[in-house]
Amino acid sequence: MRAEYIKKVKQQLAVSRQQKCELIRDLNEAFDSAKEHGETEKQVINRLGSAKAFVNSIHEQFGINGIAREQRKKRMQIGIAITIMSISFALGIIIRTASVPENVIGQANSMTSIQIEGRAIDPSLLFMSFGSAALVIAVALSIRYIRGKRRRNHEA
Amino acid sequence: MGESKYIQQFKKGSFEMILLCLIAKKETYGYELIAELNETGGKIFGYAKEGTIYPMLYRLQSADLVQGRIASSKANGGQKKYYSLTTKGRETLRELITFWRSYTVSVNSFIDTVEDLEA
Repeated sequence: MRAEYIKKVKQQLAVSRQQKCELIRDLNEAFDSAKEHGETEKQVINRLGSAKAFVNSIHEQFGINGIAREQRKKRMQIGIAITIMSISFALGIIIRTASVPENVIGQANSMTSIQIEGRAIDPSLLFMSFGSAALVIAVALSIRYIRGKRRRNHEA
Repeated sequence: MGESKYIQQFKKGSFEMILLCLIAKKETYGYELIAELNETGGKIFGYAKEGTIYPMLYRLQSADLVQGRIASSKANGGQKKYYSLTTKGRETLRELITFWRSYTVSVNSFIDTVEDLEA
């Protein structure tokens, strides 16, 4: 129970590595001291609140705006999806334009000994599919981002 | 109903001074500090939690008002961080207490002029 709680806090803390180490050390000490004074792990966790509430309180004290951080993370995810989409589409188009017409083997002037045993997957198609998947993800993330923003504006 | 933001501001402004007072009394560690804080001031200040107190202690430490010493604890076999005031911390607390005393006198003199509101 304690290990799980500390693990969750560790994952959610958005402070410097040094501060994180110090906080986790202090949190462990809090559990040890509580045990020494007859408190159970469950009682300590009830007192501390959920891992998220504990982290929010730390962030608030450090002046870290949790919502702004989440928004930034979401914007970054959208940016990554759009970058992957653009690169994939660009590579797909480049490969398609640069490839030789169908049924042409090389550009030799004489006989070659090339033997085609099977049909390879068209790499441009692969990139285009990858790009399309990234496009779908980017759109889904954008919708989630906009909805979240509207909801918060509505609540404010 | 939650307390007003004005009351929250009062509490926020005096919390670090209260921590300094508790640490000035004797070298102490996190759990003991929170227990004492809640025992004496819990009803007025609300029950303090580690999530609020730790960052304050870090701030006091980085401002060089408080120093921490990690030592093994015989009681639980782990380690404890013991806090004590630095010379600067002691001076700052003295200054804060002097200010607080004159501050309350001054604020009370304003309050006394509108005492009929309390009736």
